[in-house]
Amino acid sequence: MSTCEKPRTFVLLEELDEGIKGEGDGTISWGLCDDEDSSLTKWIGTIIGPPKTVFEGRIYQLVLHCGEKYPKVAPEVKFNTKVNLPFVSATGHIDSRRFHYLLNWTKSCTMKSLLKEIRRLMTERSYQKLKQPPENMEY
Amino acid sequence: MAGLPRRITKETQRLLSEPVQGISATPDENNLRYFHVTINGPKDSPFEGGVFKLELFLPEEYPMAAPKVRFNTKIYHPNIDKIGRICLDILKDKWSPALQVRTVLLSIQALLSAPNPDDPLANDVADNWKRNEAAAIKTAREWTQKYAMSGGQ
Amino acid sequence: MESHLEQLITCPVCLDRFKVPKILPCQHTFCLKPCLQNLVVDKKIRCPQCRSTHFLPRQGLVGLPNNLTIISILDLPSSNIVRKKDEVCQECQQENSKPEKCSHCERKLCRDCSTAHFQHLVHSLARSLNQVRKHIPKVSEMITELEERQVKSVSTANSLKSEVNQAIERCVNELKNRQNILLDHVDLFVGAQTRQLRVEQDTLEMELATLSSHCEAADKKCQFFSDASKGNRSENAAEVVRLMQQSQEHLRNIKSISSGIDDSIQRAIKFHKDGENALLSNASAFGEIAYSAPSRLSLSLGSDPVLNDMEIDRAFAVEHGRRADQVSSYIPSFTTPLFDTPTLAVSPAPSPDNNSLYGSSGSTTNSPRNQTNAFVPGLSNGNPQRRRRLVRQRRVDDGSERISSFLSPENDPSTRTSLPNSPLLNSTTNDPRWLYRAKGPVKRWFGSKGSDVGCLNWPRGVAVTPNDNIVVADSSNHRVHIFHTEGEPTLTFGGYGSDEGQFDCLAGVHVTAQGWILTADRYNHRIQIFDSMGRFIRMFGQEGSGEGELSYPWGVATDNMGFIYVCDKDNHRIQVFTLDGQFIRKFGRIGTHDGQLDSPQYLAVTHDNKVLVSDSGNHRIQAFDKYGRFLFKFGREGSAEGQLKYPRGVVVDYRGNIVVGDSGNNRIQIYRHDGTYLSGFSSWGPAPGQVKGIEGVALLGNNDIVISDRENHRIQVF
Repeated sequence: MSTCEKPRTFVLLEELDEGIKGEGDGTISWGLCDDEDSSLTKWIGTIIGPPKTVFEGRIYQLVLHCGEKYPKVAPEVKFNTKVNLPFVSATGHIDSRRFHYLLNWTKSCTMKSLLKEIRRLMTERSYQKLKQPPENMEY
Repeated sequence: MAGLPRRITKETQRLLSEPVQGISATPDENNLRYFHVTINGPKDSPFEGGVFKLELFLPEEYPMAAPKVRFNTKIYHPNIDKIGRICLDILKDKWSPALQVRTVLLSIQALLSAPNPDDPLANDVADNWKRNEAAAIKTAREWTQKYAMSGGQ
Repeated sequence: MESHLEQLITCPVCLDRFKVPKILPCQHTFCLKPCLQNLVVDKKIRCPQCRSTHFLPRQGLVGLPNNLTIISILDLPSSNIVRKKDEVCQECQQENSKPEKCSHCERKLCRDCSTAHFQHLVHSLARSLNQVRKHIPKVSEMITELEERQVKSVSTANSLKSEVNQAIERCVNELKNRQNILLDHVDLFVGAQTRQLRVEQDTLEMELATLSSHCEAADKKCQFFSDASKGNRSENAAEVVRLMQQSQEHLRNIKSISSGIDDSIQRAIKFHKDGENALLSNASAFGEIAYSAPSRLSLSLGSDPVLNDMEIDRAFAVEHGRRADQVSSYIPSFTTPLFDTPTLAVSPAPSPDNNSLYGSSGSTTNSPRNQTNAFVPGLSNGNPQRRRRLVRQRRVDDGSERISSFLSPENDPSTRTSLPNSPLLNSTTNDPRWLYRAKGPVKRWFGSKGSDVGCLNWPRGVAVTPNDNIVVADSSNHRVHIFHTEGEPTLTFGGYGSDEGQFDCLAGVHVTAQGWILTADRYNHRIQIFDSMGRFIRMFGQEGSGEGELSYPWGVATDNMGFIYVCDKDNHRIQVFTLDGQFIRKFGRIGTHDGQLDSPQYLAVTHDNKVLVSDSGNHRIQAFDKYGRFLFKFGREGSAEGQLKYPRGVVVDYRGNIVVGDSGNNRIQIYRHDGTYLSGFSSWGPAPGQVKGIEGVALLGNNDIVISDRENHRIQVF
């Protein structure tokens, strides 16, 4: 029933609180791009490339755009740091049609789990053959 | 009203039938746990004359857990940060199920009357408040004028 | 008092009347369930009122003492604190106000509850209004769509009408053309007979005069002889004998004359209307306007189709009950006789030609319009399948409409397959001989020796443009001269030289499907290509015997793929090039065996890419496939029917019939597609209709034969 639905603001404030606490191992983090952005729209996320992968030792920065209909509608996600992944376009945008997590997005999904999923995919064996651009390149 | 706890219904009825001076709380059309709130700036405070908009949400666990509240109107206050979050003990660890929406809103109104720079959320505002209260109050008054009057942001 | 009492018996957590009120050590009271239950953390409980923390008794919450005071208040008779049953709010179960009946749900609600309930109702109304609003754009979209469809219907109606008009007009024109042709034939046949009868009459008049003068002379002699004294007796006797012999001869002649007028002179000329009934019935059933698929407006609200089906299963067929898909196989049986019957035939009727290739074709000349279409690329490579597009299908959006029409030019060979179904095709009037039987008299000629416009100097190759202009290789004027089909000069280009666009005794000329003019620039040993306005496009080739090199190239033609075939005369071979001059292949070499050549001069390519070469030095025509493999040959040296002497120009009509300029015999001979002889005409001489050294031959859209009469420096049309 709709009456139990958590409004966008409070969903995002919770995600913000959790982001400040951080994910235990620090492999991912997220927060507002601008801490004065009361619309809570533009977020920045970072992923530390998982060890023993081609992404190891790199820090990937992403921008997440949470629109008016978040969390019913998935955020738009774009890599700032250059990366070669099949679901990331030439401009760094994540193609939601090629990324199952965005494709199957529900209102209970979070930016944290989204970032975790991207990081998990970085450990996929089939992606280890992908040639990665030099470090610290930006889109 | 199925699915909505009796307590919330009762509180809503009370809020509508016996409104508190200077405070209004209207449930959202589509979400009866979600309230659109306005608090008038208290008399003799730098926020006097302003109408501050807030949003309030009663989570699933309510009343065992505190309501969630934030300012939608920009406000220069040591206990309210840039994105409208409020530093108020009863919204956190001092929450008690005996408290109600009404009491929470009254507490927020009181917070406007008596800013508490020793328990800050907005550090720079609190610093200003402690260092130069007059200037801080002046800024707060300007912000009130700028953002909380005549339907400002 | 009441409200204070009420407050006393209300739990501050659930805001409801106490249920099993338990008292904490701090003296604050709450319901056991669910209020206190929810507050237990680690066997401790924090008072929601004063926040003091208490340890739970050993038995847990149940061990907390009951608030007996509150229980006793709750146990008071209802009259004091509980209102009568019908004064209880059915929502909050409280008795503190006078409940009123809600008109919506018929429940009795207190003021607070009914206010909230009313709010809720207002919210529901707003929500349902929102839902209604969501559908408004959809409905207006549908209205727009319907409006657009109406506009589309009107334009569809207009285009359908114009298609119908055009189709009918084409039919009418066909019939009118046929009418003219048949009337011409009447004149032709009757005229020929009249002339012959007049000759007979002249002959007999001469005979009559002869007889009269003989009688007169012999009478005089008889009178003379009766006077026996006159003359020398023996001489007289001899004279009498001579006259007697003459008389005897005249008698014999008279006998043969009086046996009657030769019936063969006046053969019955009849008008056969074999196809008339079929034509009429087909004409009355011609065409069909039909829906072939339903067109549904797919917009709908929810699952309910809002609008009626647009599907109307109704055909405006003239002939009811015929399905649209039958039309395609039906119409051909109708269109063919439209052109081919009725025919004019001289009895005895020609024996039916069993050759099925001609089976589907008409027997006499056809209207110029059709043939213009059919002969577009200049005859030799034109698509000879003069097929009509019988059923035109047009897709309109999701549904499809079918519009039946016919008579629009159609080159699709697939329609051919339906032709054998036609019962009318094997009519008696499909002999291609009729096409050429009437050939012989010259229709017109133009050109005379000279270098002015309109004059020619040793014309050689000749070709016809898609719009029936005649293109002549004016060889010794070193130019291309184009004439209107009636003979008015329209354009010349070129001049002597070896630069681009100049010529040195050009020979063959050919017009491609797109109207480009190919010329064999003989003494420059190259091919030059011009557009239809005579603007130079490109050239290729140079003297030599290697691949792509040429030695006195003569005839030139293209196949239906656009490849260029060149008679490389002095290399005794054919070379094939792309339209941009890339060498593809060569075939043939000097010799007399099959597939060998001796001075090939002209060539033509049939619609199915057979290459016919006038193998001049071998006095024959050879046919090759497009790869240069020998297929067959016909003709050999001689001047009897079908024999050839130094054949030159060669051209193929749309049925595959082959027209050959039999240069050495100064005649035109016509063969069937397989090389069997059909007919021939013309002879040596300077008179119109006579020729001196035929060079190129070509066909106009109406099947008239154009020949280049070299030493008379003119073009003749037969």
